Amino acid sequence: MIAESAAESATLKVLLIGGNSYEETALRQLVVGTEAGAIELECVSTLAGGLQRLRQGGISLAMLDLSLPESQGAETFSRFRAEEPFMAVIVLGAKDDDRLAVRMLHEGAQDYLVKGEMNGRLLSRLIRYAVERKRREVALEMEREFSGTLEDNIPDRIYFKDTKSRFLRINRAMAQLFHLRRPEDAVGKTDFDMFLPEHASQAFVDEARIMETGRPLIGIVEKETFPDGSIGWAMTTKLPFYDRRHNLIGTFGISRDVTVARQSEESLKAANAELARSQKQLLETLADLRQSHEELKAAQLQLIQAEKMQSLGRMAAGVAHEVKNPLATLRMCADYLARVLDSNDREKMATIQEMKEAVNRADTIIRGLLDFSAPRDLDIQEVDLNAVVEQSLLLVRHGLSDAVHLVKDLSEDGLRLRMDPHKMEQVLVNVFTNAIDAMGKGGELVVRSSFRRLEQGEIAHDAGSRFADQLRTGENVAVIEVLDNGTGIPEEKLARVFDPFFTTKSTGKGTGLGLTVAKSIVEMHGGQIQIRNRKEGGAAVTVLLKV
Amino acid sequence: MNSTSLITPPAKRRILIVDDEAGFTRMVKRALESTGQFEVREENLSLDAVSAARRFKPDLILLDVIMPAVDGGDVSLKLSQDVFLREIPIVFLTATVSHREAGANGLSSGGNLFLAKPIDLDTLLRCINDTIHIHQV
Repeated sequence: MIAESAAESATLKVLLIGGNSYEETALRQLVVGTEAGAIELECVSTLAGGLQRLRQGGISLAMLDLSLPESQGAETFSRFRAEEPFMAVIVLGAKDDDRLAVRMLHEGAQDYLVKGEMNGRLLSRLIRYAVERKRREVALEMEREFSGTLEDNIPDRIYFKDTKSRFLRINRAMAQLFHLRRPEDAVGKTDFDMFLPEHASQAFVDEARIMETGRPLIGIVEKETFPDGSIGWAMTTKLPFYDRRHNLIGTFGISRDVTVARQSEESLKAANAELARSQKQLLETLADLRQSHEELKAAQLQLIQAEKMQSLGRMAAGVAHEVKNPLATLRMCADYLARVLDSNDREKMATIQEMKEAVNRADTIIRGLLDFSAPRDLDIQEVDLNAVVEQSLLLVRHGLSDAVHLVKDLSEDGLRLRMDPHKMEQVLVNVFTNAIDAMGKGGELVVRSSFRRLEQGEIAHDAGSRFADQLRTGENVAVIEVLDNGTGIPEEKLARVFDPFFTTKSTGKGTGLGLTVAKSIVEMHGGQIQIRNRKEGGAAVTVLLKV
Repeated sequence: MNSTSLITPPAKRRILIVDDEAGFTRMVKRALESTGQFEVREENLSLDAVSAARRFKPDLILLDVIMPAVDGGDVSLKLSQDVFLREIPIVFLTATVSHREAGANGLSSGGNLFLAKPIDLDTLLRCINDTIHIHQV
């Protein structure tokens, strides 16, 4: 039974167990003569009687004579205490025995008095103080129960260390971690006795810093390495340990095993990394696929275009052939009439001339068509490009009237290339003719040849090109440029200039196949032909040839 | 050499034209005969070319290359296999070769002359006369 709060004027009931008439008398006097609050006295002569009375309750303090009929000495107290752990007790001993007194106090007695030496006034104070002490002791015990339960049952590890990082106190969980039977077995040891040096050193350093700076380390995740090779992860909080006077006496801390969490985290990280890798790979593969797809589409377009061209070519060849025969007939008619009619009849002769010219025009178209449709083999020779240019210029010299001023800007180094010179002449003649035709009222024709490296973006990738032998950036190329300052080409028609039968010239002038054939020839050589409008007006044609 | 040319002074050369285009052969006949130098026979069916040549015994054969059924190449082969006909000079007419490729005087290939259609009369006349001359020499 816990003693009630000893307010100053409260009544205390005291039970005297044993004792002799002297004590009893002294105590009874107390009941009468005391100032601070009333003390009631009850007496029993045996331990058993005393314990029984106590069980009934209401007693604040027991005065226990060590010499009782049932037992003697220290044993008496032990028996008593076993039954009554919370009762305030003043032990009455036979003689002034310090050692016994201390021992009694250790075992939980509140005081030790020698029989026959009790002072009345002192006694009442002793009694009160003893009760008070016992109460506080019990309260402390309760508190200890709370924190002790927490400390001993919590799975987190709690420790207290001194300024040299030696353990002062650890909880059960930590004792378990260290494979110690009892927490007490850790006292005086250090981390170095428990963990591998690398971990212990780090802890030691951390604690030193905490003690020096006074700043705690909160929620640090550390790797623990044990002598048996195992590894764990713990989240630790360490703080400086101060006494009541704010003197530093060490450090204390709590740490939680986060090995599982950490491992999960690591697994998750690894899984995420793996996922990221897979995703990256997937994206790369996707990009590759996309590119392949684009390439495939381009190749498909090329194929379709090539087939179109081929069937167009075949049809063109067939048509051309069929048309040539009637043309041959017409020609013969005209020639015949020219012979048999009066050559002085100017009108008739003129008519026949019209017929002949018409036939010739038709024939030219047919020829152009045949040229376009039949990819002939190239007669490749090694020739000087400038020579081919000059020859082509010769072929168009009739068109170079006084109105058209020719500017030749041919490269000084001889450019020897492998090409079919006749076919290339056909290309150049066509280009020159177009330029001249565009400058009906006169102008300047610039013809330039040079040799350089291809810049990025200079070459276009033509889906319609039949020829796989494309030029690449950085390659060395021979360049022929033909510039005029004529009418230029309307922007919306620029994309179609190479289409068969497309012409910007008026009807009757040109077949519309010239550039188509030219492009075909240039591409057969593995080159490219480009046409654009010039800023200053007119058109520029660029022919790029492999060197 | 044509044996008939020795007996009878050759007033007119005999020309056999083999071409499936009837309009063309009619005009060639008309045009050539208008010069007074030639007698022209037309044959529009290539299958009958050899028999026509046997009957007509021309001094020169104008032979179209591209024809249905039997083309000019086959006809010339058959002609060369015939004892009487193999000596007759042949001039091929073709729409497949351009003027530029044929050249002003015709293209020579395998000993034969090619003329490109459409042909003008002057070129044809010159070609015929040259060929026959060369042959008679």
